Amino acid sequence: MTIKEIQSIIKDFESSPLMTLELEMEGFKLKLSKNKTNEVVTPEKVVETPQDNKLQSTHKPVQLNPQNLIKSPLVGTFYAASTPTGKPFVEVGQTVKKGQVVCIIEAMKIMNEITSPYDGIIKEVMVKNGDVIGFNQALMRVGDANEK
Amino acid sequence: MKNKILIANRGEIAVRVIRACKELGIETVAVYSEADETSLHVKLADEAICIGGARSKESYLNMNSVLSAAISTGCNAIHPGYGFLSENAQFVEMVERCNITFIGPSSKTIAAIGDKASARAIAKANGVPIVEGSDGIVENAQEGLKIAKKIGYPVMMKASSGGGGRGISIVRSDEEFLNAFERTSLEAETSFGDKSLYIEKFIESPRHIEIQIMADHKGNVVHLFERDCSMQRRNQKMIEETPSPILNELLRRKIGAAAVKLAKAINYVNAGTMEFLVDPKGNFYFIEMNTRIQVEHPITEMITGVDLVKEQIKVGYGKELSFKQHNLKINGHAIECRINAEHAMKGFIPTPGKITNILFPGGIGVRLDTHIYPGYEIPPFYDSMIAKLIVHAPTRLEAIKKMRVALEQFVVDGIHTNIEYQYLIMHNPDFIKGQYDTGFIARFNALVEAENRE
Repeated sequence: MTIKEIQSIIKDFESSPLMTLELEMEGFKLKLSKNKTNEVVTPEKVVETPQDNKLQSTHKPVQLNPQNLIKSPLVGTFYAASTPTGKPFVEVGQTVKKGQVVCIIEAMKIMNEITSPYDGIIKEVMVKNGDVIGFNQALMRVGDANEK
Repeated sequence: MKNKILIANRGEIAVRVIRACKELGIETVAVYSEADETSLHVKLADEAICIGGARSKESYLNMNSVLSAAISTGCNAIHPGYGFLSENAQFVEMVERCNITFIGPSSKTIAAIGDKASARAIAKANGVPIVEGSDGIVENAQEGLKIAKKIGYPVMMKASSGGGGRGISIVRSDEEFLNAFERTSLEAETSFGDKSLYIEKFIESPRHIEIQIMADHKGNVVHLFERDCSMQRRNQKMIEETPSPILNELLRRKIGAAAVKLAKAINYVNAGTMEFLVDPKGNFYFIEMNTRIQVEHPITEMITGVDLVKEQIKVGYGKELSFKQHNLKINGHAIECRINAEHAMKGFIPTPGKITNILFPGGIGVRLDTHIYPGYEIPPFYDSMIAKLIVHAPTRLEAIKKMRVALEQFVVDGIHTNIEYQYLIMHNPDFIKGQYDTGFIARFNALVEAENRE
């Protein structure tokens, strides 16, 4: 690995959307990262060079940060359960998977199921049964297991 | 059920309606797009709910979101303001089906008279003079050409579902016609989603005279006199005044009576405006009806003392009008200047941005309808009107002088506005003489630009 090659890698890395890059070869290890908080790491990009050295960006699993909010795509009324006396779809502390129904927003007499865009644990429910919900309003926060 | 109104609009008219509701003791719900979070109407209403993204289509024109907001917040009425969904018959029908009061006429009335081609037919059937033109929509360019030849040039082609001065073209010869037809159809399609056009004879140097109508459910239909809106730039009004300098008492009564007759014929309820063209010989022709409150309604309020928005709300809730025709009188003279965030010297390009400071004009007979405040950031997504400056005085000349002083004292820092431009017009000899037509602004601009270049 020559200095020029390292400089070229740094230049490419800077202009790419990647946040971190780890390169390990025999006798050589390079780690680059951009310092930005609360940024979800973009998935891997595998680039193969003719010399058979694989440049591989490491990717961490989608970094959950405290700001992973489930927002309402609709204007309407929030319901925590599917029936007035029923058990809520989710509760604080519960694990959810991406695509899992977490609540209902009633708009124009139609009950719309709202699903979580993330895997994780419900950390906070910001609204209560019967609340009027505006467009893009935060309903719940999803975090990961390591978060306090 | 307590009265609660959702105001399906933004900007100065939302503020206007909220004020009227508060004076009547009615709870208010404001709706706003993501770009309007800091808007004044949001701060003034009792409740506010975000209904969508910045683009009007995603928010203020989103029928489901607006209706859902009304239902969720427990409103029993919706006031549509002007523009947006105010003349959308489909939306009004949805509101009616949800058993919510729409502050305006019925969806059927809006469908019938809001369509400009069919409105002409209704006027003709009721003996109200109309501009000679096509009987309804023109099917294609060839048919249009035949009609144009029959009427005689110059002719005007207009979008049937149009408004706001768009989808209009003037054609002066056979050669221009086909091209203009295609172009205007396309413009109509993109602006209003309907490419239908109709054709009218183009009246040279017309005055645009409109009559304010107010009607209740008991069949009491009155007119609140005229507004002269001839000061237009590209078919968009800039200055309005009442009474019109060119109407004598006889003509005023004739046009007023025609407007009332037409309103009664379609069983009109609530506020509306009939637009007419008046030619230099004093002939008047009905062109269209607007089934909503209009931007320039304040000047009518100043000379009659009637709060039109309050009357709208009262009629909406089933009350009768508190006055009859003979109770209405013209008192003094009123002028309105529309204040826009635009650069008058650079082709009137809109100038959104942050307002750093404002000094408001005031005094007897000075009224400002606006939603701006110091520190307010004007979003780029909506029309550029930021305020309406209205004056009222015993005579026309005093009103003009009052407007000059008010414009002088109205300071808006941080963005460009047309305040100085309006100020120039208030000193223009033709305007002062009351001798102007819909071509005035175009000629005035040419003058100003020529001076600028020197």
